[in-house]
Amino acid sequence: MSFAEYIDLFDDNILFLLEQHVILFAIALAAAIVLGVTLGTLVHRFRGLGMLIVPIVNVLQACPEIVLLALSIPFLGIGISGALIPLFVKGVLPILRNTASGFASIDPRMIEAARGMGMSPLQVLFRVEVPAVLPIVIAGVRISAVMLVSVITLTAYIGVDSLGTMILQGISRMDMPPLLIGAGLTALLAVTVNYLLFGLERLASRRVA
Amino acid sequence: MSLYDFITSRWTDIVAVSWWHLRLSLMAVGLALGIGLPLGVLCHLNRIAAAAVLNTVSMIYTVPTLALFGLMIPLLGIGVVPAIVAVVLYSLLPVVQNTYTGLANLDPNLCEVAIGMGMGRWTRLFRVELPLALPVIFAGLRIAVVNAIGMVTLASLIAAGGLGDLIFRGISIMSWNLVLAGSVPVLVMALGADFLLKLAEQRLGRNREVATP
Amino acid sequence: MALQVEFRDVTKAFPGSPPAVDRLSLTVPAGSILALVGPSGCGKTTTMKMINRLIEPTSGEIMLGDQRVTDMPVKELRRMIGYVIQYVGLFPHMTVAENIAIVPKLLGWPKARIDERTDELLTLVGLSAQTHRSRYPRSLSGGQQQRVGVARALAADPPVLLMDEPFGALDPITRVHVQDELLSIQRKVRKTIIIVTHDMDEAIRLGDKVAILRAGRMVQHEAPVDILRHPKDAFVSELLGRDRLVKLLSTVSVASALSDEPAPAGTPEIDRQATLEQAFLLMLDLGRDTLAVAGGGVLHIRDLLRVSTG
Repeated sequence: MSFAEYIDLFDDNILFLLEQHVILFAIALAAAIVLGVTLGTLVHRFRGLGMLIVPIVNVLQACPEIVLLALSIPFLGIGISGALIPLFVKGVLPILRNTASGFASIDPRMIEAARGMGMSPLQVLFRVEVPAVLPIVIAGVRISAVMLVSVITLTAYIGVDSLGTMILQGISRMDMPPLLIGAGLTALLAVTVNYLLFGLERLASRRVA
Repeated sequence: MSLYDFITSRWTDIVAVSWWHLRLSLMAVGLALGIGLPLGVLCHLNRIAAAAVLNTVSMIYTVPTLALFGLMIPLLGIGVVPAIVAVVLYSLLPVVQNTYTGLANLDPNLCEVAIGMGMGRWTRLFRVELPLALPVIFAGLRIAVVNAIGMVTLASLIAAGGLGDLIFRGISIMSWNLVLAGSVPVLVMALGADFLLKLAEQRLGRNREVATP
Repeated sequence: MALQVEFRDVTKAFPGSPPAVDRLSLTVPAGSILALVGPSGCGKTTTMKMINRLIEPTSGEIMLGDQRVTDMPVKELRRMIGYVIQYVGLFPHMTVAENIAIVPKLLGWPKARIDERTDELLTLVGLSAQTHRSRYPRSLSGGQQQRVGVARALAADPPVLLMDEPFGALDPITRVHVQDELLSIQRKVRKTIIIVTHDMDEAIRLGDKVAILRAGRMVQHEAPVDILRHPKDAFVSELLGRDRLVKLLSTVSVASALSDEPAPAGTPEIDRQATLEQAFLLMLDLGRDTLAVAGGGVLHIRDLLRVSTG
């Protein structure tokens, strides 16, 4: 089957899978940002929590996505629920790390100076700390986002519909059109997401510098 | 069958597959190092090359791994060669990027002293700059190795073998034992490599702290 | 061996700003120390870096012995000029011995000669070769690192030594100590040394001559005593500070100011090698205007006045 024929026949399927991929991505990323920023802030504020969480984060970071996926099957089964752990872990970690290290990188003298000028704690947070941390957090979000696009393709193995479904289909049947369309679209999606967030990162850091 | 019986009956098989998995990963990273290190040095020496090379390798790194394996098929077919090529491509970024940043962030005073003492460009590169950048380059290597061990799992999809064989067969026939027999060695190798290389990295770093009077 | 360094009408202009060094002519005789001093941005570092061609002059020429530096192959030139900077610049991944051996290795010396030279230099700068040879820079104190820096610069017996704020990072006590050591090393090796500093006291202590620069121009170039005695303008006296005459006394020894007369009986004694500053303080301390000089001669407070007014 040629590309044109394939697209003609399956265009609604391609669009459906792309849509699924994007929706899953958006939900996962939103959840990752909320959780990652919260946990990162907590880790920074409470040293003890950091000592508990940081080693776990380091181990999970080194853990391959596909292994996380495989190991969560007996607990969560297959389908969308089985995809939750790898999506959660791989999405949250970079944001958590960057939030914590972003806060840690703020010069304490700057905060002292802000307090000395009579800013309230809330003012210090929003006018000094947040602008300084923002570019670093966005860099974490970018890493998470690119990773999530990739992890979502892998969840096709346990029956979650996404562009990965087409890639797998293509590989198992040695069928080039779905393979290339699936791979091409995911690659394009990842590159676009990376590019957009990189722009945002630069915008945020320009305000600080 | 209990997990214990399963493991003991398949022990030699699991070890052999793990060994093959490790060899594939290390071969790919070795190649990536051979290509990436000179590229990183090139980026350091030439600004135009830096922009081109760094953008290209980070673009490749952005492509989801599964898609990268998929894109290999029309180019190189299936088997060990396309699998290694995909892993090499993916491993280039940490190697090139870390070589480049390691060299770019050296203490400018040390570089000036090297020039002032009459070292030529290459002497300076090999005797001062690369040795000093080694811990950072090594950190890139560590990331590449850990990534590669994870990524080679997917290589089983294009018939290159490795522990992915066990995991994917396990998922499709719903054999938890098989999934574990594949996943645990991957996990152990990835975490072990991460730990050992981090340790080596710290030892390297200790002798390179810039001495300040 | 030492070589004379000579600047002939040297100018360095960076695009878009006034010349960093403006028509500088200056001779540093072989075997002497020149201190280049002035506020930051006065062109002193630029001046120094033109000697080993880390910076190329816009016009004029610089002579090393009877050769123009621009006629010499740049690597060869640099290998015959020792170079010490403020941050010491010891390579942290090399041992003390490896650091010292860099230039001899570049010059292709045989290993035995390098080893011998390393030990000789460590002894020269006052470090035990056995205990320090194979240590890494980070395990040395600031003063020790600085000495290794000097040893490294002297490794291939260069005729010229350039030092850029060499003691700037040391605490005041260590600094004076290392300065004294540099002077005692210089008495043995007799190199042509050009030292850049923003610290006037350091310039006066170390320089046989001091050249004061301001905005790329040389304001005054004389022996420390003469500069202290007759600062050329308000800028120089400001750099010297209010206690310039006390500093002047500190640069002159008792031996060079005494009168050849017998001392009255019961006069307190002072060493010939002491400085006039020490003699002056002793006079204030004891409430006497006359001191007997050990080994013959007498020092009267009039002698101090004579020295300070030239």
